[in-house]
Amino acid sequence: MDTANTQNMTVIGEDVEIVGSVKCSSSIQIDGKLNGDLTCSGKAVIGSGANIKGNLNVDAVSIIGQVNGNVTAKDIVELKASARMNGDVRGKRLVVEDGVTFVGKAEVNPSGAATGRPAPAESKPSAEPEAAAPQGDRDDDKKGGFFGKK
Amino acid sequence: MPERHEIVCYECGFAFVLQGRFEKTYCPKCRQCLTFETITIDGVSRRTVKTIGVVTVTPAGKIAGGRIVATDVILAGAINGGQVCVSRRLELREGATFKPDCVSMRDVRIHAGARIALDHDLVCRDLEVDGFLKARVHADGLIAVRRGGFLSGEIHGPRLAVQDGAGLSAVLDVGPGCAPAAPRKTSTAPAEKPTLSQPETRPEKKKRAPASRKGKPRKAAQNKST
Ligand SMILES: [Zn+2]
Repeated sequence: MDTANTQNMTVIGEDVEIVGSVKCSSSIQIDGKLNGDLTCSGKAVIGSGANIKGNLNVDAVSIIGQVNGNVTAKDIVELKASARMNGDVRGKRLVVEDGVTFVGKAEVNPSGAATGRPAPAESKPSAEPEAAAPQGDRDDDKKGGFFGKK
Repeated sequence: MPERHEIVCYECGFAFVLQGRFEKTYCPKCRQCLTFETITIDGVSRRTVKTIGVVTVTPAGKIAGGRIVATDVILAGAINGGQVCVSRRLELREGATFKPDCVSMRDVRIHAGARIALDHDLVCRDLEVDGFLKARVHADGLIAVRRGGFLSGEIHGPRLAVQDGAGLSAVLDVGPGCAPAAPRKTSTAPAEKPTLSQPETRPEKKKRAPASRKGKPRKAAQNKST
């Protein structure tokens, strides 16, 4: 994170434990424990020592520590190499570094269209004529409910 | 700069690197003479081929029998019969179809622009997705979804990397402790890093290591299908 952003950033230190929801209209960095949901209209950084038990609803998030809950981001979800993600991720963009632990579901399409396709029915690779660009042409797939269970 | 080739011995699975041009060489480990050929199959094939080069199956190509052993296979056609052993990488292009029982490979790449949907498990070491893949993936190496690529289905494996600009719609079970859930019939990949070797040079006898038979490509999939 750059210095300019840091000045407007709320920081929850590593010795802080919060029980309850957190709402933040700017960016936030959490290095401690949060037992509850986080709603943030800026960028959230979940630090290496952080432990979140709750859902994250953010503009963008960078996860270095541990999250047990679902993550919904308007823009990008970054899972750094040390991240431990236990839950579902939905966002516009996703970056996953080699080394993460991720148990859950991911629904990410950079084009913005959902892609929850049904399980494959044919036994061989399909040869759909439109080929290429996986994104952007699948509005018909928007029904796939992905976060229903948590 | 001379051309570099990563060679995987089709007899013992040992990986090494050669520079320059050559038609054959010797495996530094098992000392087998290895032939380098680049082969294109664009009709029905039942031939038997062993090469440390690349076999390309064009959209009109169909492998219906015989045995093909190659370092890399580029598949845009069909593998309906015979046995295809890919000692390094199987690249799937648009229109590729294969019976899982007929193919074994180490790594898999989904070519950019290809749309591949498999109804059987895909079992491999590394998987690179540059195109669209819908499958249940069990990898024991790195699954990499690159910018422009899209992976849909299930992912089981120890390592995952997703580039910004890639798409993912999948159930994931990924982490250091996560072994592929699907059983593998054999292990293949040579554990050693490729070593630099000279073309056409016999290795010295004292360096000879006992031939390992563990380096057989693993089966592509367990589920019966197609
Ligand atoms: Zn050998």
